[in-house]
Amino acid sequence: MGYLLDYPVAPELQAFQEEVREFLRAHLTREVVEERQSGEWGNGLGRHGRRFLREMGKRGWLGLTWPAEYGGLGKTVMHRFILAEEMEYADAPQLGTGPSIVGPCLMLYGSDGQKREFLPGIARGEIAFALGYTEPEAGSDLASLQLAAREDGDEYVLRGQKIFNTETHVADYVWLAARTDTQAPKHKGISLFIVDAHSRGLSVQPIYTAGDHRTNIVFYDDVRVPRRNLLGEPNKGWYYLATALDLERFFPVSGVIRQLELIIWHAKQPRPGGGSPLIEDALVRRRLAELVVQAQAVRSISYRMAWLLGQGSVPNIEASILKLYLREFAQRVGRAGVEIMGLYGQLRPSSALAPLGGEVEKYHRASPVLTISGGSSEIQRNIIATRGLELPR
Amino acid sequence: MRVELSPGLGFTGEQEMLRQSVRAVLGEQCPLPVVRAMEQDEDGFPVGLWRQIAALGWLGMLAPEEYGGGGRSFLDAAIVLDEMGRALFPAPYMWTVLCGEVIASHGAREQRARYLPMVASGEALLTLAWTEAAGVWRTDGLVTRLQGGRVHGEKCFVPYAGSATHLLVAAKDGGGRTVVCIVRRRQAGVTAAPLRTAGWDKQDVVTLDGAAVEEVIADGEAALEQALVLGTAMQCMVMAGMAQRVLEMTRDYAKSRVQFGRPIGNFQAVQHHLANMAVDTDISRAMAYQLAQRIAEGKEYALEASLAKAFVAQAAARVMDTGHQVHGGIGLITDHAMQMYFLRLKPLTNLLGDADFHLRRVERAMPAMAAGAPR
Repeated sequence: MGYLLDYPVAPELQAFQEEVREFLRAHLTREVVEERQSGEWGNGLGRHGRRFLREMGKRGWLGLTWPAEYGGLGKTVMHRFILAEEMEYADAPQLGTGPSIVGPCLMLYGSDGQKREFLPGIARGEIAFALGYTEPEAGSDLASLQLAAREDGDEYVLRGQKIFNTETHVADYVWLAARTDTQAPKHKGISLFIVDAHSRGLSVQPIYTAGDHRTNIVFYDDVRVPRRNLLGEPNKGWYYLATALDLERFFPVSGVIRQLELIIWHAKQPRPGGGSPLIEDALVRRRLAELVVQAQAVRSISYRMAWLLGQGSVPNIEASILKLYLREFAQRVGRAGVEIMGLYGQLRPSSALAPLGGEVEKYHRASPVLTISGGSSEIQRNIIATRGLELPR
Repeated sequence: MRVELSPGLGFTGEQEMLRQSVRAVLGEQCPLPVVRAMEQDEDGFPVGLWRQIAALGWLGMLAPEEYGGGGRSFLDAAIVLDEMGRALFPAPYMWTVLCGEVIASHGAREQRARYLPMVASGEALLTLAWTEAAGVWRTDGLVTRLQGGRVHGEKCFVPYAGSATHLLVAAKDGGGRTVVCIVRRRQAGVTAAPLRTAGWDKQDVVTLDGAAVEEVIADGEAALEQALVLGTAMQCMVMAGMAQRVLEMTRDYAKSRVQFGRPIGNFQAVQHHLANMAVDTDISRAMAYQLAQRIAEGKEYALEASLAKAFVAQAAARVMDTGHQVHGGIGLITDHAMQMYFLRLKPLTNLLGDADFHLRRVERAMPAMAAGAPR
């Protein structure tokens, strides 16, 4: 690994880091990577991706920080930080919605029955969840979501539409936010449900994005969910969603750093047609050096996040700062990459002439989503200004 | 108020107390009107306060105990510098402590014994006379010569040379080797002519006309490289402190200034300006403190210092610009704090290499950062 990924690892954690690297060498096969890169299977819920996640589950790494009673290993946040960074650097499937959102939420607010039914399966990599939040009229203003959950005896009946729900077509369950009270203020009428992804009345229509990722429009046409699949109390879903979000703020930075390392590597190579390497061009060199400085900035606030989580704090403003800066930085890296490559920068991975197998081109092509998903840059700035600096809303 | 975030490392209780003590002393004895008055003062710094900070142990905190110092962690000095930036403390603290560290690392034993106790006691006021007419932080083109125990040459942009007691002069000896000469400031062969800078901070042109040299640090290359990287790290702390204060000031102003019937901090356009200031400030602080911790741990840090300066110098300048924008007309009045922070950032971004200079150092290290062939 290059200089840029050399984040500080305490001596007692170095063995774990090495174990993760060894695991990735052994189990992150070409099939797993190709399946993930195809974009058809979400973050890794195809045949190979699921096998990979089950292998991780065998080691207890999907519930790395969870207590043993829920199938976890009870390790520290720094273990989790290392796992996230190493997996991202290797372009491995991400842990996914189950281990990072559903699990922590169930441990905090789930019933005993829900914990028994879902946690062990999530920790073993056998149960995969898709996220069901965004709707056509509820993007950044998520609390305006309208998909209705109407009580009917021992069941809820779901009716409405979701969009950009990426893994619904390959997951086992959906972690769904729905409106249970249409009269209450918008934040106080939302509930969270666990919905079988194969329920009758649930239908999925694919959408393809510029970055080759498949996502979905999902229709809920009187989908029936048993009451026992409601999380906690009705109408408290927004609160659950927000607090659980704060607990699991990992924004690995090694993916974009890997891209920057690749671009620097490329810039050192002889050019097609016999020109001198790009790095000998003063403007290219300066542009890359600026990005290296920004990479160091990202590393410092990423490491700070890990440190704070390790101290047991809930760093929400710090998370917004990291999310904002990291994602805008990633876009700058992608764009610089394809621009310094000149005419070759426009070639897709399927082109034989594409530098670096088209990896940077694809990264750049997929990068607009980075400042939109997971809370847009504007939302992050709002959070920093109103919650951080306490400016009036 | 959540304006100030953790830089991502732990401070001891003693360090928290040190921060409070520096903030209290400077807040009481060096409010902005004092900073302003020092612009017209010949010494350029409050002499009484200098003695007081010596007595408080701030000047000698890094020097080894055997030379009257405190032998404390660099992180302690970082806290002091952060607070001094916050207060715009107008004094050659950074330069004196920096030159003391250069002597401690590269001076012979008798040189350490001669100067370090004077640094700790506040008697010595050291500064770095490196750049010449070319205004560059290099050693290959040095014109100043050491000959027969005397130096000849002209040094430009020497901070606080008017009030310094000793100059650390970068020169070439008869064999063309780089040396650092320690020169007493008050002597016949040394004159200092003040420059009129944007920030009214003290920088001088120093003429060395056969000035007598007290001591020579033989390994000038290593000594100057240390001055550059350690000084750079110190500047990052000072700039981080300045940015933090400007962020707070601007945020308070946005909450109180009413236009169109409400505080301007209500407007999203202004909120996003402030959010950008907060991000620049916060990252600067994280980088500066993590660099300070790295130094305190005794690790190699030359590249990290350049990475930090290239970021912090640009980020702090953005914070000043945006702070001015949010303050509107009022911030342009010469006595306004905004104006003072804006102008006093310049010697920090420019001396010991500006962002461009440090980016060039990063460029030289860059080829080794490529991770190897793609998968």
